[in-house]
Amino acid sequence: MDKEQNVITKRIKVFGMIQGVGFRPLVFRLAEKYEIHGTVRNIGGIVEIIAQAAEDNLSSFLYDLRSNSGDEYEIVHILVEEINENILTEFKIIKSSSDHEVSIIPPDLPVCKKCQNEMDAMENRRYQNPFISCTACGPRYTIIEKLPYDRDHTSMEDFVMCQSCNKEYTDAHSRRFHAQTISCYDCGPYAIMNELKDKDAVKEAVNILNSGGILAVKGIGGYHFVCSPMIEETVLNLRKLKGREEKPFAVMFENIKSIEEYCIVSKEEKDILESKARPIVLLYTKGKSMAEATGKGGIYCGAFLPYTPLQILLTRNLGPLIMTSANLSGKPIIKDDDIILNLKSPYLNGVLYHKRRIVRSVDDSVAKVIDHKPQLIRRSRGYVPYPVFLPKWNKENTDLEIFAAGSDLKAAFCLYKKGSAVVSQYFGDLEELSVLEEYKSSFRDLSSLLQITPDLAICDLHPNYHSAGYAKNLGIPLITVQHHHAHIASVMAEFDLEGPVIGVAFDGTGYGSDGNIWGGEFLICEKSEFKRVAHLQYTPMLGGDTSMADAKKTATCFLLKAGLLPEIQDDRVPIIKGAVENNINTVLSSSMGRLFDAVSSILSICHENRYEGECAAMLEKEAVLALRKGIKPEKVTFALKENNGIIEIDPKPTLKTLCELRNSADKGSLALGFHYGVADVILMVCELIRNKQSVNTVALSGGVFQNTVLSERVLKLLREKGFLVYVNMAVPPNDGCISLGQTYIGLRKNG
Amino acid sequence: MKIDMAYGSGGKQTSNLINDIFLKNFDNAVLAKMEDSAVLKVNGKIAYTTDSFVVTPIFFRGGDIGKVAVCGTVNDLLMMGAIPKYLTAGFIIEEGADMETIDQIAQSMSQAAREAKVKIVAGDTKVIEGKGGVYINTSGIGEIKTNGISISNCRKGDVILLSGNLGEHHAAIMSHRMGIENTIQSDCAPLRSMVKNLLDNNIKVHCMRDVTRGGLATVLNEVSKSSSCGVEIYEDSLPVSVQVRGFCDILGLDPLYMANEGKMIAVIPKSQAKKALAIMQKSRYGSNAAIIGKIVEGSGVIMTTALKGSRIIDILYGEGLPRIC
Ligand SMILES: [Fe+3]
Ligand SMILES: [Mg+2]
Ligand SMILES: [Zn+2]
Ligand SMILES: [Zn+2]
Repeated sequence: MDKEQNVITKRIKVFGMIQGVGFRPLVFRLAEKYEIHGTVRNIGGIVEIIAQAAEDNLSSFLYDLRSNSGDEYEIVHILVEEINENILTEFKIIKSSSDHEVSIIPPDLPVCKKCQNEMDAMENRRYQNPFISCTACGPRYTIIEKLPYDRDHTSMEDFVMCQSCNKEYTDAHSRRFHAQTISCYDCGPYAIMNELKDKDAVKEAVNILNSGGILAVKGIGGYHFVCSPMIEETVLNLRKLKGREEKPFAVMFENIKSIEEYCIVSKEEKDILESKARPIVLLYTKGKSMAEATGKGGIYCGAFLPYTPLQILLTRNLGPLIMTSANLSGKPIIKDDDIILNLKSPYLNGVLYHKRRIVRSVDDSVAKVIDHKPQLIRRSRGYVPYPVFLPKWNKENTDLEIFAAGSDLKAAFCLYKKGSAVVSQYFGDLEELSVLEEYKSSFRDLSSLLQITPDLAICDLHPNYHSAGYAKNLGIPLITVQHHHAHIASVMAEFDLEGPVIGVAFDGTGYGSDGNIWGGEFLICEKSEFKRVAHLQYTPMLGGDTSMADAKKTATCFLLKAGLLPEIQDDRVPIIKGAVENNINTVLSSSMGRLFDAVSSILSICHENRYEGECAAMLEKEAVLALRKGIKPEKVTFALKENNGIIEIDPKPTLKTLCELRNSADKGSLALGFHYGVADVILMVCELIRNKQSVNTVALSGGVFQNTVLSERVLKLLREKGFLVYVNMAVPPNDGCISLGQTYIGLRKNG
Repeated sequence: MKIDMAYGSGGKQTSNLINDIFLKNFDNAVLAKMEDSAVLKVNGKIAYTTDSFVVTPIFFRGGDIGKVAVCGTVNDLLMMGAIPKYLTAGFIIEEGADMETIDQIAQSMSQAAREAKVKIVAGDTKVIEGKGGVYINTSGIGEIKTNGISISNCRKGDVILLSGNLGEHHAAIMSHRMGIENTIQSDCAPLRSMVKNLLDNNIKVHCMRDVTRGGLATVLNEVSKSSSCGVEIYEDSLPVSVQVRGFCDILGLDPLYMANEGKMIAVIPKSQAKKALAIMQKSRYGSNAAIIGKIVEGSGVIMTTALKGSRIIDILYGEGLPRIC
């Protein structure tokens, strides 16, 4: 072969999740394989390869690069151009340069198979090492201080590599070639418990947990409180430690087999459980049960698999463990050693930790399977800060950089630059000051990490949102976006839809353009605009956040409006009635979430949301149990009327049926009937809109669609009638999606 | 007997109204002269303020518009460290109002004035078309007893005292409007003796403020802004009666944002906190007084909640607007 003639040079730019996953070493090995000369380097978040070889070799090289994608790295986009270059004599990895390209920072990764095998191999020098990692696994986002991702830009800089590790680090054929998190028993980090180190520390922890104690264990994005889920007293103590926490606790299991003893696991659920993000997955419980205080009578168990070597060691020794974020009543997850070590509580029996600093805190993610597909409930560790790509906008809006503030509950902001929208980790409720501080400092942190200087801010319409207040104070141009419009726009962003779509946004509360409280909305959305075409009829409700949590009061308000007062037994009725009639501290609400609350209370299933969505979750539970038992749903219907061209959905017939039958009919058949009734009315309204506006695409979003029974039913009905239906995939349908939707609208308005 | 437009004509009926109601009730030598202006003797610096009062209903448990009109202006003077001396009163009466109603209002004003040791020395009446409503404007003069008391005078480390239970006026008015029978009474009261006791006992008061419309949350935000400081309060320490608490829980109201008509805060050096609290608690209308917080570094108002969380207490926007999803 006449080399001189066939050799060409190409500049290859690779976009995707390729930072911190051993991508450059892999390129190096591929280059060796195909006799390619040239260089590879990081520029910002993109990898640039200069490759010189015979044309065929270059094609094979590119083919391999693409076809390996998806396993250890994920390529989103490759740009190839031919360039003129002198003859090169070798292939080398050259130093990273940080310029202003979009940075893609890898999410944290769970222990890989190969590392797990090494952990299990007695002769391996990392046998049972709690910090084993390689180029394909280990912490990333939570240890990176700045880009490019090099060891001295991470909290691993505190640990000096030993000679053996250094040898692996510099050997291009090692699995730990340029593995920034490389460590061993010699160089640390070490597991620490009291005065004990590594194996002894782990042993001590196992002993304490075995005897019913509660430990704080340092994880990836923060500390966990850990204890046995089987001992009622221990779990009750954990609830005291966390302070009035009522939610079911997440449980970490050694493996899928162990989960299957307690939960039903489908193929899809197994896939998410084992996915790189290792989220908590909500599974239906079965068989063996745990302490009552663990699951709180729900039908779901939040199950997940270990993602750190330390967690593997613990679950292997102890079986299932409650693994709940270490935080106190509504405050952010604790990540700093001195805070947890100084936490004085009679319920905390020890701290198992290490000295690798957590640079930023990230909670565990939560997902469930709906319609055979994963749906995120909380998008955090393992997903963040992987961007959502908005390809259409990649070219057209090259310069616009955006901060979208999101919502106040399940707060998460979004930073946008050059086609990639990075949705931040989940923060929780910004009403709590320390959460708000975390939100603000994370904005500063993430914007500097990604080198994004927003020139446009976007926030919710709600006048009392802390997130909106923060966005307003940034002193840059500001756009406000209606809450439910943002919900639907998040789906449009994910699937690159331009509209028109029929957006069905069902949630608890959002501030409407008319100043009322929305939450049962049908919006026609197209590009940056929306039109409200239908909604749940307004019901006057008592104001204040505490009223929203009181399902019994909500039920009273609905029944008052429907003229069904005698059905309620609540000694507060005269005052509630007086308030509603005299317009004292009342708001008008079209919230579907509130209707679920009311129905849960009317059926005496649950009267209060001690945590968000509790009433609806308990109502769904009854429906699920009815489905399992093959109980027929009671027929429950809504009435439709038109008011100024807007369809109003009247829940009166529903409420009437439920009130009349609640003492005679099976609770499950009513609960299921209600779910089906809501699905029916969604279909009816969508068909009415389709007939009028010839729109056949439907986007569903909002926290109400986290309800499996409702979602699967409505998807089935809509598809049967030929609708094309989209739901959130990359972000949760709850308020975790708002900042992405806001970003989409901001781009459309400026596009 | 109903008041009609003729009572505002300036003629005989007007003078009947003045003689039969106002002169009779406000009985004092300055007013009795019926000069074009009251001629007053004052010592040193004065504080001077005015306020207009619009309350529905006019009569409620614990007070009426007249009492509120006197107490409001008296309290505003007191908050500047001034001892109230003289008031003026202007009435705008809608035709159809009962003569008896006006008389009752005037009686109640006279009683409140007596308690506050102020004289109503000038007045005016107008009658307008309408549905029998009454609106009152009062202005007042007080002699400054202690200088330098100011909303911009709060200092880091100072302690914040609240003179009693929150939300009672607001809850009483709302109960009335809703037609609800309960035992909640408006707290409407003049705070003369409380303020005088504090000053007479050499409490170095940095700032006083009556807690009225907008509630404690609004007042504390004003403190934070004017004194360029942070304000920290403790939810646990806020005095609220069982009845008002229950009422608020049902309606979803927050006592922090509810109006009062006889409550004040005092911001004083930490060293005098205990002494001041004892004085307040011994004073009339002060039995439920409490230390509710302190002045800190920073800005804005932060509340430590009963569950040891902390939240920002903003100024109210949109009554009852829920945030949660
Ligand atoms: Fe929402
Ligand atoms: Mg005033
Ligand atoms: Zn590995
Ligand atoms: Zn080492």
